[in-house]
Amino acid sequence: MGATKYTRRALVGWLGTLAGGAVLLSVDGRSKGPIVPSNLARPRTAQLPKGGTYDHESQQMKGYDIKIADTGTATDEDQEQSTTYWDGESK
Amino acid sequence: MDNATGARSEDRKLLLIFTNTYDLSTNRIVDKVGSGRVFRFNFDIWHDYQIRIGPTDFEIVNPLGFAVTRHDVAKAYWRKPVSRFFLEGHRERSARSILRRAVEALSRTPSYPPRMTAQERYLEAEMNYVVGEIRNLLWKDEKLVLVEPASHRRLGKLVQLEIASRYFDVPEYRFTFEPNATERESRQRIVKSLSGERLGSNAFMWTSTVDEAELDRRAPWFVQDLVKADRDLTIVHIRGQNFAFDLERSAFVDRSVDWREVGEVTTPLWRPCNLPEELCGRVNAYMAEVGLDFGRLDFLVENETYWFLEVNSNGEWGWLDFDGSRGVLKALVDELDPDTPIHPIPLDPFIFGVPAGHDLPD
Repeated sequence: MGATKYTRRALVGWLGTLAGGAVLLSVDGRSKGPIVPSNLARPRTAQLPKGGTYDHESQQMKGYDIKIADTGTATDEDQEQSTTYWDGESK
Repeated sequence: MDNATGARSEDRKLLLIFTNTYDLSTNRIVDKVGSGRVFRFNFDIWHDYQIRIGPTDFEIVNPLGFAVTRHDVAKAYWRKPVSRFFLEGHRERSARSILRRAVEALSRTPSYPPRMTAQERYLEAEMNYVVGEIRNLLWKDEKLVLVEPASHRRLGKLVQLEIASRYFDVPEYRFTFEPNATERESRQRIVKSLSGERLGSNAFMWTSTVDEAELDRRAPWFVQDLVKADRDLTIVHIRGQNFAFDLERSAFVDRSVDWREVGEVTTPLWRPCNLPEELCGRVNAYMAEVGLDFGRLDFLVENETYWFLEVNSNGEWGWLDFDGSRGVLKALVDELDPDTPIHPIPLDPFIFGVPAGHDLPD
C-alpha cells in the first residue's frame, strides 16, 4: 500500500512539474515551436557505408564501395570540431 | 625508444596519416604511396593501437606490430581523424526501426550522440588530446604538410569572405542576431549554417532559399544574396596547382540549391574544366594570403562571373578523381610521398600572408 501511495504522489508531482513547465514556456514565448523551421533542417542523404572490414596489412578498408560526393558537415571537419557533439564544449 | 618491429629507425621514412578507417580518400593515398611507406592511424579504432610518448620520441604500433616513431616520420598528413561514436552514429540512425524512431520522437531523446558512457567519453577525450599532441610535435618538427588542422579557428567563413572580396566577386552577405528588430524586408535570400551543427537526428540546415522576412528573429542567421548561377565550380588547390571541376545546376536545382544535399545525383556529374588564367592567379594569390597550401574552393558561375562561396581547408576530393586520371590524386601523392621534397605548412598560421621561405610554384 505504501509503495502505491508514493508512486501516486511521484506521478502527481511529475505531472505537476510538466504542467508548470508548459505554463512557463507559454509565458516566455518559447513554446511557439522551433525557431529554425523544419523545412530548413533536412536529413543528410549521404550515409557512411555499412559493413566493410579494416585490413591492417594493406591499411585500407575492404568490402565497401562509396562514391558519394562531399559528405558535408558529417565528416568535413576534423576531430576538434566533431568533439563538440560529445564533450559539450566547442574547442 | 625501441621500435616494436626491431627495424632500425634510420632506415625508414614514413608518411603518417591521421584519419579514420572509412576515409576512402586515404585508401587512395595508401594505395599509391605503398602500404609499407605509410603508417595509417585511424582514430575511430584507436583501441587497436599501442601508443607510447616519452620526452623526445613517440611510438605508435598497429596490431600487426608495424610501428612508427617520431624519427621515422618524414611527413604527416592530417586527414579526418574522427571518433567512432561520430561515425557509428550515422550507421545506428540508418538502422533504426520505426518503433524506435517513434519512441525517440515521443521522448525527444536525442539519437545523437549515440550511446556513450562518461568513462568512454573520458577515454575518447584523452586519446583525442594525445593524438592532437603527436600532431603538434610533428608540426613543430616541420613535418606536417598540406592540411592545416582546425583552420576554422582562425579562418572561418566570415574571415574567408572578407579576404575573398579583394580577389573575387562575393555575394553580399550578412550575419544578424536581432531578436528585438522590427520586421525585415521581404526578399529572397540564401541562408546557411556557419557551424554545421545538427538540428536533430541526422538533420542539418542545408543551404536553402528563404524569404528573409520569414526568418524567426530569435535565431542567429547568416544570409547571402541569391545568385542565379548556371554552374557550380569547385577548385582543388594543392600548393599552387589548381584542379577545377564544374557541375550543371539544372540537374538538381529543382530539388535543392545545395548540390551536397543530392549527392547521389550530383556525384557522377562533376566534370573537369579549364580555369581562366586570370582566375587561377587570383586563387593562388588568395590561398597565399590566407596561408593555406591545400583547400577546396567553391564558386557559383553566373555567365562570366565567378562568385566565391567558401574554401574548405580539409575538403573532400576523392570523388573528383576517383580513378586518379584527373590529376588530383597524383598531385597529392607528389606532395605526400615520404621521399619527395617536403613543404611543411607554416608554423604560425595565425599570421596571414605568405610566410618567409614558404615558396609557391610560379
